[in-house]
Amino acid sequence: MSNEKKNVLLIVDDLQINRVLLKRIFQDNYNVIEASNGAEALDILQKRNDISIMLLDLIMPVMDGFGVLNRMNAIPTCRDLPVIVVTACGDAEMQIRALKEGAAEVITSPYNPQIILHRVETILFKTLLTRESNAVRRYCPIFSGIVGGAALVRSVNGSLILLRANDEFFEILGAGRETLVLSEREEAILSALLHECDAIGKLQQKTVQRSIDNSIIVNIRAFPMENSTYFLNIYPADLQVIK
Amino acid sequence: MKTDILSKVGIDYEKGVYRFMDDASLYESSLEMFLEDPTFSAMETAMAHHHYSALFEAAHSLKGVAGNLDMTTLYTFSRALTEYLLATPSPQEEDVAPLYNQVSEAYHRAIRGIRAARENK
Repeated sequence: MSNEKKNVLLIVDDLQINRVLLKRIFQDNYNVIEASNGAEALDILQKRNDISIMLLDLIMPVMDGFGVLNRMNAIPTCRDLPVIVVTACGDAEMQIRALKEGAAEVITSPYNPQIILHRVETILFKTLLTRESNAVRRYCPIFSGIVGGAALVRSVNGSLILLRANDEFFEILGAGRETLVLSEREEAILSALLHECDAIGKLQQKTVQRSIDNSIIVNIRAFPMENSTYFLNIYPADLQVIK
Repeated sequence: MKTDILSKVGIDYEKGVYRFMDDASLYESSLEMFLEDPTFSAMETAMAHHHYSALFEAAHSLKGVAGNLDMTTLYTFSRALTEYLLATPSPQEEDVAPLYNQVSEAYHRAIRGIRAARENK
């Protein structure tokens, strides 16, 4: 898997040995970046919008973990960022305070590598599900009145997840179906389209023609939305659509 | 590194390598990194000045690193010191000193052990 496809994990700990250990645990599955105190972490969070999850120590110089949790609320791109507190502190009061101030979970050291890997993956997955359900709710009105097939998809680690689609979408791509699972062929077609959108960057709308089964030519329009989510509109090429 | 030397000073080499995803080389280099770690020096300074909040922070850091490196003896004693300091609003020197001395002894034993294990590869 290429680096750009991996989720980005930010490790915040003042102790280099702890950062070395955490980086080793996660480096095979994540793009790992590091900060040695809370102020550095906030600086990174303000400059980058691709952080997927943060592991945050509590007791640090310059700015501690509580300071980071408090200030994150003021950064719009950080409000939904899952934070796992990693600490040597077994004190229940401090752990509860961290959870109240926004941490999704607290993991105490010494770290078991398999457990911490599993917990991070679980929290990331839950966060993704929440975001997807929010995206479906937000974009539902677009589906009404659309001509042809319409779908909301999210690109995750090189794969496409179909969040919602109308009946016409399935009819145009193949047989009518009840499941939201893309076939390999459909995923290849849509991935190629989204790749073109990504490559162009600022593009807001693109129409391409693709032969699906040698009997139908369709126009596909992709509208980049947010968080790697795309709204797709597919319709037969001979259908006149008001743009 | 000579693992039997590490074992004698309370360092569990096998557990440590497991924690480092079976990367023995990285674990050993992290043990060597510990030789240069300034945390215990910060503890010494804090203890000398009876600055117990700073002592807590340094002992807490030492506990974290010792645990992650599977320095079990040092971890046990540094944990005892942090728990006392956390639970005691006004720590007394006669209570702190024995706990601190245990940490100090375990720290210096561990340092000597790592150096000896490195030299007897």
